[in-house]
Amino acid sequence: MAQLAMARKSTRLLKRLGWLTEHAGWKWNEPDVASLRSGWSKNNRVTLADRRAGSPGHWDPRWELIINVPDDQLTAEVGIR
Amino acid sequence: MSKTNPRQCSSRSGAGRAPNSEGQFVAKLVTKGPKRYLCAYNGNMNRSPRALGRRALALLEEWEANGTQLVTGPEIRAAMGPNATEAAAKRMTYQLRHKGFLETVRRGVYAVQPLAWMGNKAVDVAASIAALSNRGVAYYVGFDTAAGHYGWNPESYGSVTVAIPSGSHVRMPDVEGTRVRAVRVPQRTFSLGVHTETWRGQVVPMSGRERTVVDAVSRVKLVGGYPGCLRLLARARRHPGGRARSGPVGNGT
Repeated sequence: MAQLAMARKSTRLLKRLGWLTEHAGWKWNEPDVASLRSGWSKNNRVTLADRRAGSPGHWDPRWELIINVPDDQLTAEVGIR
Repeated sequence: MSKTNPRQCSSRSGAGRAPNSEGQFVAKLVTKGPKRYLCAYNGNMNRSPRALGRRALALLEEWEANGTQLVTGPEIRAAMGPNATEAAAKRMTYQLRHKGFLETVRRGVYAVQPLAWMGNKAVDVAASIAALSNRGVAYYVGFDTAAGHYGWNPESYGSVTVAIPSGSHVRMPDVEGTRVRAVRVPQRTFSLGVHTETWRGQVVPMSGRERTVVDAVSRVKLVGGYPGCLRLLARARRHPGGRARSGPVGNGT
């Protein structure tokens, strides 16, 4: 999966993938995390949602991502089997 | 091309009616004026919409036995035997279509309807999508539809999402009651993580499990926004399908 995501060559996608999967309870292998992080630009201040979302958000240091989505939207929809 | 005209083949005129040895009315060409019309079934298809001749029934039974779900015009002709003419194949196709045993999914491509349906018209969206392959269209079934196939998203029968390469223009099948949504994805990575799957009885290209997760994260709106995406990811963690080989590992809790 890491390779598939890296093939897209999108830092934003890699960061979002890492953060959202971990938020949903996944655990990444450290080698895969390292490979995901390998191509990140130091100056890339990526936001989870669109920058026009309005919320200033908070900084996630692990995935270097600004979480600008309201907390009530960051809970899984009901019906998880 | 032959064409049925009920007015010119009315039962009163008697033209075109010729019962064969089994008592069935067979099609006859009736000439009237400059055009020739194919007159069949007493001039009105609706009077015996489901009756099948032996040859048509044999074809349908053979397709059903073989699991054939899509046929093309040349395949119908081939199935009718080496001596079948193109005109005969066209008549057979016309007859089966009008009786509801073949459903046109693309020009020259037909979905075989199960005999058990007795010729009732029923549009099969999966067959319509699978017919895109016959037309040489690059696509894959993905996003919420693929997630539904893997059991990570509620199956939505009113909507199907198909990914096509960026820059391509594909006319999606027009299926009554179902919205076929075309989503453009980058051409460069289009085929990565895509393989064939049997979906609703049809073999179609579909994003694999890993690709489905990556696609869902990249286009969150297509899978129900962030709550829907998180539900999908949570389900994928619990039921990875035994195919998540690298990357995230579910902790089983």
